Amino acid sequence: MTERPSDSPVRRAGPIDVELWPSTLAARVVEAGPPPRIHGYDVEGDLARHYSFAEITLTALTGVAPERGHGRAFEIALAFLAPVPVSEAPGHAAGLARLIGADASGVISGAAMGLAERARELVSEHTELVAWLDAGTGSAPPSTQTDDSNEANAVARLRAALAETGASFPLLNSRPKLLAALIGVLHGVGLTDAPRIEAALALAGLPATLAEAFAVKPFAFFSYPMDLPAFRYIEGADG
Amino acid sequence: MAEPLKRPVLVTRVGHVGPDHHRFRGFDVGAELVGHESYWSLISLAIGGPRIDSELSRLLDDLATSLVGPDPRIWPWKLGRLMSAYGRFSVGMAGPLIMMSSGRVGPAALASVARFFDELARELGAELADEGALTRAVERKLEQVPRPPGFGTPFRNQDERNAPIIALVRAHGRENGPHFSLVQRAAPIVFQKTRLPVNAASLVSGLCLDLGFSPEQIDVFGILLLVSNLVANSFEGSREAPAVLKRLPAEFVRYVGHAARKSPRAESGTAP
Repeated sequence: MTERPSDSPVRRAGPIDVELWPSTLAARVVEAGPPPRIHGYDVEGDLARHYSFAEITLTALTGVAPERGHGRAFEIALAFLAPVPVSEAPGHAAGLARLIGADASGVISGAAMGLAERARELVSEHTELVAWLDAGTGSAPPSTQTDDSNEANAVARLRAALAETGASFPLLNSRPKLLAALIGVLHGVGLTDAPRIEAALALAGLPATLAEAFAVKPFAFFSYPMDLPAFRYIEGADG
Repeated sequence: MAEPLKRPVLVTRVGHVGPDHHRFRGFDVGAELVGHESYWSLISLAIGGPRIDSELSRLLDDLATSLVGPDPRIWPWKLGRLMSAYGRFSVGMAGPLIMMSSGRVGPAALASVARFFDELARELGAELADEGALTRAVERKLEQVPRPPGFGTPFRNQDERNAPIIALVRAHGRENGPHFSLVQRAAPIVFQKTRLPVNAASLVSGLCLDLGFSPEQIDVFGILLLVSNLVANSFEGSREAPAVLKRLPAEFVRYVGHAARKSPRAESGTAP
């Protein structure tokens, strides 16, 4: 192998050196404290005493501590969104990572990444709904409606759970699919853009996805269906 | 007037962007590296190693080729398929690398294998060539690590990649390197004690140690030598984004968890 040159000092200033950059990094939500604050609210002396973790999450995402009905509605929506089955890619991947010996950090990172991807796709499929919710007029988009009895029953359970909150969500006056209804609730409590709705979807799924993964026994290779789905190798140019 | 803040400073030897050029590890990229470097030499420089010549680059090319095995059912590549299922190649690449960063399977395993043999060689020291000393040292190692990294071949009796790797190392005249030799001499001792055959990670680690790279640097090679497998699966996976990987049909899931039950609050009818 050839020898390395001696280190030579850099002398000529480049564009990053000459620009006038801010000298500090802006903190826009969390003030370190003490006491630590989220959007100005004292976490330890105020939020932790008067709000649930879900409501603190909503505070962080919207900037304002929610009134009781919206806070409870957000919790209910998160509960409905929590069970992400292992058949879906995020849980499948997190469990497989655990199987082959990933540590907790790797499992958590992978689960979060997979759930974020899932949330991105789900919200992108509801762009029309979000636009309708923003506009606040007209009939609900037909794509959000269903006559499926399982969906209708789930939405009925959602309505029953939300009844105690006193909060109203316009989409629930129609025949929405469950996910559309839940996005409607998230929008109604203040998550009015795609990134925040995606954040809520990803956050909601994380605990159950991690629990599913941590239930996998590391290195129990024969417990995993390696050939599911079956991949069939063929040769030739891509289609 | 408040005194200006004194920014914390971090020293880097990696790079600097100048007014009309980039410096990388002591070199002017445009003037000194473009047209003169192989990709492997760039990687070596990136991790603090020396520029490497064309022969060594060819060796690394051959090594990477010997490690091509992108069957999508192999676990790290299956992770690439799952993570790219929503259509993004980058996530298919990043997800498995993050998830396997501590694993015993996949690219990151190479660093732990390199550490194992590096420690073994250091422990032997001047007795590196002594077979009795080697046997005793391996036995001591196995007391600490009963399942040493770099050994074991799931679902088969031997690693089919070993023979091509040994052949290419021999073709490049590097079969007598101390660590590569150590791996091959330690392998039968480990097998006799554990029934675990040596796998390709051990051979690759031994060779990389002989090339002068540290275990931390070999961590990088673990990823780069195997990356074509992940690229292949993440690329095809992201293009196809198959529904069946986003969600397996329900009939292929068997629930083995807790039976259906009511929560205490539901039983008592109390509100949350």
